[in-house]
Amino acid sequence: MKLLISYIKTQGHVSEDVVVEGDSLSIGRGTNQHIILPDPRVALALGTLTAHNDGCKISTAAGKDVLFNSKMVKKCILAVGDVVEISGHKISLLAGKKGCDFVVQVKISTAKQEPIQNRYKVGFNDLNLYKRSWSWLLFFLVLTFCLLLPFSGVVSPSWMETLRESSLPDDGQWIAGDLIKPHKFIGDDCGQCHVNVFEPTTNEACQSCHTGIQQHVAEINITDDFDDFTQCTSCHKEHNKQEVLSDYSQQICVNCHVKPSHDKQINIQYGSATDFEHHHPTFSVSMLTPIIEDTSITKWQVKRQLLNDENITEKSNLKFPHALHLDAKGIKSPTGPVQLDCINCHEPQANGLEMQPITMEKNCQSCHQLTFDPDDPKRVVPHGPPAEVMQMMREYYAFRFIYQNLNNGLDDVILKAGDIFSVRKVRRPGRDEGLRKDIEQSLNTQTVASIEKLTKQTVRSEALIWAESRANRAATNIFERQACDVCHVVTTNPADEIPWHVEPVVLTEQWLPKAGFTHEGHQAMVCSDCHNASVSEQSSDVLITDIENCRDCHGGTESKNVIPNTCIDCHGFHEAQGHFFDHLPDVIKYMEPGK
Amino acid sequence: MDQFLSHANGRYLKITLILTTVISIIYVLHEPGQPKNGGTWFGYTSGTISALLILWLMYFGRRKRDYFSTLGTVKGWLSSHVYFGSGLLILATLHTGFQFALNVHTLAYLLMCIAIFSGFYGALTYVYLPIKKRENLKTISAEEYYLSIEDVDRQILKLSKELPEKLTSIINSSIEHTKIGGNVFNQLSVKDRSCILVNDKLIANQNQSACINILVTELAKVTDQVRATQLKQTIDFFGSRNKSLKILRYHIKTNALLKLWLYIHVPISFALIAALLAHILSVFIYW
Repeated sequence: MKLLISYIKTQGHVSEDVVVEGDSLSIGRGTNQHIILPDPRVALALGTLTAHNDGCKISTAAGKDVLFNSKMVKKCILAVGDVVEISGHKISLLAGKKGCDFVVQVKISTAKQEPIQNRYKVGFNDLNLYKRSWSWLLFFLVLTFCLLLPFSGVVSPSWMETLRESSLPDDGQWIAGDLIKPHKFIGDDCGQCHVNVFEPTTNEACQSCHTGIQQHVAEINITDDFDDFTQCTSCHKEHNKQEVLSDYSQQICVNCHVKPSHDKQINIQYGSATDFEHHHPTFSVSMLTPIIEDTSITKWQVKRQLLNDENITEKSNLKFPHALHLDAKGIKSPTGPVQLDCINCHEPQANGLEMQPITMEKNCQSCHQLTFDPDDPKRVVPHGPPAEVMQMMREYYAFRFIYQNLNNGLDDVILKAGDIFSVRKVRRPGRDEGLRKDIEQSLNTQTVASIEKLTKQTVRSEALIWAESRANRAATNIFERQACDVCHVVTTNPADEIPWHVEPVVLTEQWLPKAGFTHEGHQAMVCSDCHNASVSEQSSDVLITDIENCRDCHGGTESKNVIPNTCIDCHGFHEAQGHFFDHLPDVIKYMEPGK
Repeated sequence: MDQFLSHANGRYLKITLILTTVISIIYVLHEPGQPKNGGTWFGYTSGTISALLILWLMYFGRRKRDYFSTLGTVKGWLSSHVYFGSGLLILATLHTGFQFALNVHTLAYLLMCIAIFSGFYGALTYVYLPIKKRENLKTISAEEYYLSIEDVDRQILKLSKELPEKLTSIINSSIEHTKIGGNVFNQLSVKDRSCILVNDKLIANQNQSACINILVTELAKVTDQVRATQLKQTIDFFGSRNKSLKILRYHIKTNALLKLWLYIHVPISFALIAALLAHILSVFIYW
């Protein structure tokens, strides 16, 4: 059988004729098909057309169908003149010609319908959204409102005021964090501190308010190593979430003090320190030490001494054995034995830091009474310079001689006033006269002769000799044996008018002026935990405890099971708190006579 | 498509994990002597790295179009873009020292977060949506679905010419008022908003059900065998038409999701560049 396939593309125009030998034609989009329908809607192999003697039969592949007589069918029998439609393309069976049995006319539909995709917005690109325009829009919006507008205010301060008053964005949006409470008054006036654009805040800006602040590091100590600390803002960082601007961390101190430092101002070499528990030098005490020139003390100077020095001694010129006074059995007193405790003498100052100064009148005199005459045990000399003591005793004995030899029968006010000079007369018969001679012999003949010559015309020399000799004897007693010498260092120079000289006592009040130690904060402890006074026989013993004792309770910031302490807990920051080693005005006070 | 995540055996994932871990440890250990913030040595370092990283990440938009570039592969760039972008989130967070407030600095951080998280979503869509897309379309292309709908439409119209005029106009209106795609929200929802004109009234024709209902009712009434067959075929056509429409709607949604995140990711990244400029400059204007 022979079949002719005739393609018609436009009306009546035969574009192509194909003759096929055989009785079966395949239909589909594929190029291996006999009847090619170049349309994506048509399956690659749609079905087959089989020719018979009186017509043709079309059968389709599974799931495919053709339109025949207004019906979608899977199979159909075509007679000459019948037409089937496949996706708009028409296949007609015509009578054979040119020696062919049938002509299969294929009319390719060229009617173009707008694709459905074009009728609806089915693609994302149909939405006309543009990334680029949105990107630039957002870029310029943010740039304008967050940078350009506030910066225009930085250029023109008056315009900044306008911005701040209006609802337009100003430089307030640049604030990285809140100001600390004391700085809140600055408000939104950034220019108060940020004086120059693109320049860090200067020390001058800080010091425009903080005028009274002392320099943290003395000028003299600022070397090249201190570059990091030349700006306030190097350490004091604003706009941070913190309550204070000071850095109390151990690390900031350690940064420098990891190396031994040298204070040029007072010429002291400090050890290095990184941690209280593990790496801290032994304590140094600031002790008042006498400067002796030509065997006499000219002034007192603070001397720093290491506590671990075995030869450390205090030179206060006071003789005071702590052990004796703290004897558990008690100590003798005019009222019988008493048991003394530290607090009896060492009373804390109201500030809780140091102890109140020790004075003779307040702390010693209740036991150490300055009596000088066994016959008149209530009479005492003043606690003062030797000249005053001598003066008082001369007066006392002169008056006593006069009043003892007066007629006791006269009733007179003056006589009654003299009662205070009356003492028990002769305790043992005949002794007084002998004693008198002994006493008066203590005056050398030159003195007696000059007194006799001086008093011949006025008072009886006997009286003056009596008084002077007794005063002299009593003075020798109290200066050299009884009173003064018990506590003081008394030197004798026979060439002087008053031969006795009492060395001044100066007690150190602030032993650790660099440490923020308070007795108040250590009330839970007893004195002997730190000060081993009960075994101290000498007043030269230094009873300030060294670092080991503190370490029983205190440690560094990382220490466990002890109180974690950072440097600033004990130390002031350089000169900020006004701690100077040589700043002890009390020294002058002690040098005054009578103290 | 998901190969970009495991590119080069996860090389960039490993680099990011190692670097972020190291940087996080440094952050925890460093003690600047003040609350941790962007102004410490760590803050300046992490800030500088972050800013440079942002510029590099944005250069990816340029690099992926640079078809002749031999500087690595685009897949490699995409892989590092995703992982280094994730690392940026950690690095920039450590740069802030967890100090946030209502200011330009936090704005820059927020914009960066939006860009990064939209990027996460984008990476996720690139991994999962192509699979969903294939499953939905089965083996046929979307183009073929559209053509099949056109074909069905034409056949319905041809069949409907034989039916009473009233039914013809209803069937015509059903085809005419079919909705697919539309604006961004319509594309993202797969809801069928098709309508049908019955007695001059536009009623909802979701899933072509209104139209099919009318045809079924009509089918129940007819006695003529030919007419019944025509009606049955029309109903069948509407059924297959609806099936194709449903698949296409899901296809449109998937396509929109694959592209939409970029319309957030890219513009926000540009806004971030501006905020970053304001952040850096403002810090040094008021140093």
